[in-house]
Amino acid sequence: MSSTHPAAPPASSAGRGPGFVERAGASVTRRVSVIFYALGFFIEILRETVASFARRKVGSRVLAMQILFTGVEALAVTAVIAVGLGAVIIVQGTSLLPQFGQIQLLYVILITVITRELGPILTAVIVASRSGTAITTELGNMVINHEVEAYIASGINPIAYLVVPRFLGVIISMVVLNLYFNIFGLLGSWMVTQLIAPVEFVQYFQGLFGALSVVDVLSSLVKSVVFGAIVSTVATFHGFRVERSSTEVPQMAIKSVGQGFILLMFANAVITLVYYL
Amino acid sequence: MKFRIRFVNQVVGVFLIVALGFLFAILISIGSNQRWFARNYRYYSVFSSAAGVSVGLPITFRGFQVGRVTAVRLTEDNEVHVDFFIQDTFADRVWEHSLIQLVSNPLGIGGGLVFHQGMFPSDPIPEGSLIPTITSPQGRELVRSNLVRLPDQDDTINQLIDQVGPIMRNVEEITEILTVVLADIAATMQGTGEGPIQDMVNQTNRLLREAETVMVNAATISDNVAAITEEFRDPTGIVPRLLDPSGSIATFLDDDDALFLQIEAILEGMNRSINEVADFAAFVNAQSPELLFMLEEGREALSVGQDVLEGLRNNPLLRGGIPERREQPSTTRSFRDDSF
Repeated sequence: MSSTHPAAPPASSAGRGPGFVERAGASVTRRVSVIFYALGFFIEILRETVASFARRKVGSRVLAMQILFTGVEALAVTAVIAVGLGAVIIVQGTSLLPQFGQIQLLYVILITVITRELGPILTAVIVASRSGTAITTELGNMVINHEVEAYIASGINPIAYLVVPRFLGVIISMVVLNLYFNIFGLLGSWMVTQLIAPVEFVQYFQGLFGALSVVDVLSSLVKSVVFGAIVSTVATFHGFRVERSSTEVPQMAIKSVGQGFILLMFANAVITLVYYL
Repeated sequence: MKFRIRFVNQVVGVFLIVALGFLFAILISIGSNQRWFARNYRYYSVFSSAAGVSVGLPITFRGFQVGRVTAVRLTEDNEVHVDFFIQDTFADRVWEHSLIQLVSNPLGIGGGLVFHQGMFPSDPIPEGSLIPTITSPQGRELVRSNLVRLPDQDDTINQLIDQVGPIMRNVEEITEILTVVLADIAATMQGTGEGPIQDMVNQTNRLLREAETVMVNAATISDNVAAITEEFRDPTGIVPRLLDPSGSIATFLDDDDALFLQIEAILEGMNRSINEVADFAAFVNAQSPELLFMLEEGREALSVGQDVLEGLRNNPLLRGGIPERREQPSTTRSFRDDSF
């Protein structure tokens, strides 16, 4: 895959090195080329994903393993964060909001924070940190070991065989983890707060489901799908950007996490804006 | 091989199925809680402004949510048309003469539409009817006619506002008291007031008058001192004459110690007399034990004599008794023995 990278601009014909303007222009051109290349990579992933469903030949074993590593194994840390976050919101809400006579806003705050905003983004951060780096490292090592070239030589499309299962696996895991985050954040936090500020079970869930709307659930699910696509695409893209040296693998893993976080925040802002439009 | 890897499909299957189960349960709970399949009775109301009114605004009745605003639009007549629904479980409470009131919270949070029931039970008004607002002419007329049940406002903000009245009354009372105090102070300053401050002022005036008298006396004394000082300054005055070496005092003191010697002789005589008295007192002190012994002896002799006399008087053998004693006149005679 490294052969498809945009070529570096030619060196200046003059005896001296390139000037500042020339270097800046070259940098911008290179970055724009990378962005277009990444967009093309993402479109190729989508095309191969649809084609895989049409062919009914998704690497099911790879997909299951990806969901296991990305979803099941991240469940514990996700649950702990969700329970802690929900408990903090309930404790703070039950102590502050009654002072304004607005305790019913507790449920709106819970839904807004856990379901609509922090649930998807925290889940995405967890997945990007754990699985994004793992995917980048795994694919980078496969490139170094010429396994990708072997797939191509064998007539196997590496995107269809290596990327699509990971793409689907991360998206599915992200959606499911986000669901679990909501469950633990809303249900588990109620259990925790029984030790601190007891709230009636029926009262709590009546208020919660009264404040929760389908739009909130759909918004959360849409965010999960988009975040899963971003994390998996960025991770596989940087994994394939490794060219020949094993020292490139950690560099690409770091870039994968950094760029993944930036894109996640950007996408979160865009989706939230669309929600309120 | 690890359990998870060996049974990866089962683990992932359970992971997904449980999540899907929760998702369906959440959706069903939302649906049942938000009455997706229940019937709503739609009404409308007309407001003069859409401020504070928005789609989704809850409608409450005695603190319970009974409906929700579904649409807000501005009509051709510049009136704000608000569509809302009342839940089927509360639709039978929408009696004739019911009202809608927009309640806003001064803090900017909360608030909403409050449903006020008509005073007298009736069949529910038809769906799609107008329920007037409490600020509309129709609503004011219903309130004036006492055809609407208006509950007491009992939210926190209103309680605070209710407490403002008593506080203002207290402030008014304090202001009145301050006014009286200031009037008293003004009267006292003018000398027409009564009370302890006026008494203090009067006493101060008396003291000042007495001080004035004292000052007059002091002035007199000062004048005298000034006169004496003037006398000192005058070389022909009485003081220089008295103090002069040829003056009276000098002459009186310059007598070759005759006066001094005379006084000294008098003092020495007095000293001798005092010493003699002291010697006599010491002699008497030295004789005191002997005098005491003699007195004691005499007392015992008198006691014995008394017993003898008592025995003689009681003795029946002595018939003749004691002969009468004849007084022997003294050989010496003093002027005190003479009778005048």
